Amino acid sequence: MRDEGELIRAAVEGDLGAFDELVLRKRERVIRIAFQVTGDLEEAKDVAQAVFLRLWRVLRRFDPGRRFDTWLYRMTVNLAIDQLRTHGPKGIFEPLPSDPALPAPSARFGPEQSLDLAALQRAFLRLAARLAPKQRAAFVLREIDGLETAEVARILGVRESTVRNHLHQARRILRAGLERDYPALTALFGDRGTGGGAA
Amino acid sequence: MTNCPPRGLLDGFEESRGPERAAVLEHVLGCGSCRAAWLAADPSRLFAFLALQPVPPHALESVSAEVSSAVRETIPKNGWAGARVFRPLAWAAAVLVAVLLGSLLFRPASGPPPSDLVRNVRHRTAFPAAGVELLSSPGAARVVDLTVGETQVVMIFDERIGL
Repeated sequence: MRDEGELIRAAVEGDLGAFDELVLRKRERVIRIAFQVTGDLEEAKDVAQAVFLRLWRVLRRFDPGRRFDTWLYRMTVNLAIDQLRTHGPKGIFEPLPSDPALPAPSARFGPEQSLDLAALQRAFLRLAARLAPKQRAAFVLREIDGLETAEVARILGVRESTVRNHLHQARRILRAGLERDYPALTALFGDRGTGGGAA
Repeated sequence: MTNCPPRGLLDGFEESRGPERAAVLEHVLGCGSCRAAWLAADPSRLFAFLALQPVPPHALESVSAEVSSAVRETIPKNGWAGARVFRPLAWAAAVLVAVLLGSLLFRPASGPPPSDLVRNVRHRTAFPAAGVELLSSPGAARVVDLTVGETQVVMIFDERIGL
């Protein structure tokens, strides 16, 4: 199995199989980020396609001394924010649709509890519509995707202190929204979450 | 749970890095007491679990198929190898055409050489004040002698040369 650097070099040389493999490895994360920023799966797919097509055109300009993911996610976030600014927040009540053939996604909380991820997604999409695009992108990259603050700063093209400020504001707005609009959600998984509650 | 992470790790979740962060998330999923403490500090941490939500397979496949098809449309029919061979050949052909055109456009016109034209000059108009003489040869060529002092400059205008 070829490593990422080999795939990039081969794709630059015109190896379509290598480029397909790159898309295969990166597509889920790119779609997830685009979805959480735009709030709409169709728009997320459009963003992902645009990102990979742009990647194909500009891959030869990639500096191997830099992190590929940072470069890719920067394109993703920029296009997703453009989409968000053009069309406004979408999918306010629509979670990431699950595949009908698969069981509804959930996170197991011990043997008796589970978190309905669709309900959590609905809450996020509704509350995140109140965030500014860069606040939302910072929250998605740091808190959902788990990237480090320094990398989020590089992706967004801002200072780390700016990212921390975006995150602070985003958490404050989301926390207030959760407590006001979704008290059952936080109570269920927080205060009484000792393994004995029901989902 | 007996192997709960240190409280500091839970409290500092926002600053934790990749594997450390993943370990905390995995732990609080299964440990009610840690989860309660973790969420009490900031309920918005709950959204970190959205990372567990899978992207629908149809969306993944659709993106791959669209990208693959669009990328292949950008490639020349001969493939990149053909394009790489063709590009230098195209440049070489362009240079050859330019040289041929240049030799056609700039070749000397048939007829007597300029020295003969000068000999055919019939009239000379002098501008003594400027040290300039205008020489003319009707039907053949016009010659302007711009000689000033020891510097001799002669300009010959002949429509037959076709520059």
